[in-house]
Amino acid sequence: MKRIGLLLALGLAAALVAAGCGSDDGDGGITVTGAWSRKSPMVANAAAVYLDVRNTGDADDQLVSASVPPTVAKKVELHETVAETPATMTGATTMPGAAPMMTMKPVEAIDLPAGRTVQLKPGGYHIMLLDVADLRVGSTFELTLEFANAGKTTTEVEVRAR
Amino acid sequence: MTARRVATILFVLGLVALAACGGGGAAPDLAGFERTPAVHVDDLKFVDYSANPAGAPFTAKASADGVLLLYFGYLSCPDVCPLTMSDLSQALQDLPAADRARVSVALVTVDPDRDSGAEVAAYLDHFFDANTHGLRAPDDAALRAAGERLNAQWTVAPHQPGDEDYEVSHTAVTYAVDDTGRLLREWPFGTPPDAVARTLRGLLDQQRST
Repeated sequence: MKRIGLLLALGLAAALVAAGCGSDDGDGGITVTGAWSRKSPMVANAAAVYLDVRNTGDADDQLVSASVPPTVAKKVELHETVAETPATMTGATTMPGAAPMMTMKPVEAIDLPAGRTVQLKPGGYHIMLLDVADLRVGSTFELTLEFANAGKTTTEVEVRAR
Repeated sequence: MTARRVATILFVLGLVALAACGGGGAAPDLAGFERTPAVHVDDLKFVDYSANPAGAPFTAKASADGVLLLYFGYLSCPDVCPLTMSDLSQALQDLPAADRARVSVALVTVDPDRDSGAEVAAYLDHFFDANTHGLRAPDDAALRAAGERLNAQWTVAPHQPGDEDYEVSHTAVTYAVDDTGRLLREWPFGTPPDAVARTLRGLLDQQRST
C-alpha cells in the first residue's frame, strides 16, 4: 500500500512537471537545452554550436536565425552537414562502399514540428560561428535564437574540449 | 517422459546450441568493409610533423602487430573532423591500455594552403595522448596519389593565397592499415565509437594471430 502511495505521488509529480512544461507558453512553447560548443582546436576559425530544441507548442515552428555577442564571433549561420554523392563518382570510380562526400550547407531555417525535439548535434544540424574568438574551455557565452513564431530566446552555451 | 521434461530438455539443448554458436570463432562484427584486391599504401609519400625531428618522411604502416588509422581531413573543419577524431579518441579509451598502445592515428591534411604541419600535429594532440602522426604530403602530386590509391575524395573551393574562409568537402573515411602497409579495412563517417572499438579489437586480434 505504501508503495502504491509512493507511485501515485511520483505520477502526480510527473504530471505536474509536464503540465508546468506545457504551460510555459508565453514564448510559443520552445525549450532549448544542453547548448554546447566544441572549442576550435588550433587554427579553426569556425566553431559549431549544438543543442536540443523542443517545440512543446501545438503549431510547427522554425529556427530562423541565431546570434552571439560580436566578441564571440563575427558571423553566425545555420548549417547542416550532409552526405553527397560527388558528381565525379561515376561508373569507373564507383565501387562497393564508395563513401559519400561530407559537406556543410547553410540552411535558411530548421523545421521544428509541433511536439517534437530537434537535435542540433555533431554530423547533423548545427549553428556555425565564423570568425570566432579564442574560446576558453569551460567558459560560457550567450546565444540568442530567433524562431518564426516563438520569437527570440536566449540560452547559455558551454565551451567544451571534445 | 512428461511433456514438461521434453520441454526442459529441448530448452537446454537450445541453450547449448546458442553457446556453441556464440563461441564458434565466428568473425567479430567489424564495421565498414575490406577492399579486394588488397590495397597497399606503404609507398605513398608523407611528411610527419609529429615526429622528432618534425618533418621526417613517413611510411604509412603500423608498428609491429599494430594498426595505423589514416584519415584525410582539414583543420578548419568545424563539425565532421572533430567528431571523427573525438569518436576515435573515445573508441581508443574503450580499449585496454596494451591494445591502445598498438594503435596509431595519422591525419593527412587535404588543405595544405591553410594547414601547416605543426598545426596538424598540434590538432591531433588535442584529441590523443600518444601515437599520432600529423601529416602533409610533400607536394600536390603526392597528395593526389594518396587520395587515388585509397579512393579518398575531396574538393577544396577556389581561393586566393592567404584566404582563410573557403569550403572543403571530403569523404571522411577512416582507413585501417597493418604493419606491412596493407589496407585492412575502412569505415565511413558516422561509425559510432563502440563499433570502432569493436572493429579495432577484431583487427588487433587478427594482427597478433598472423
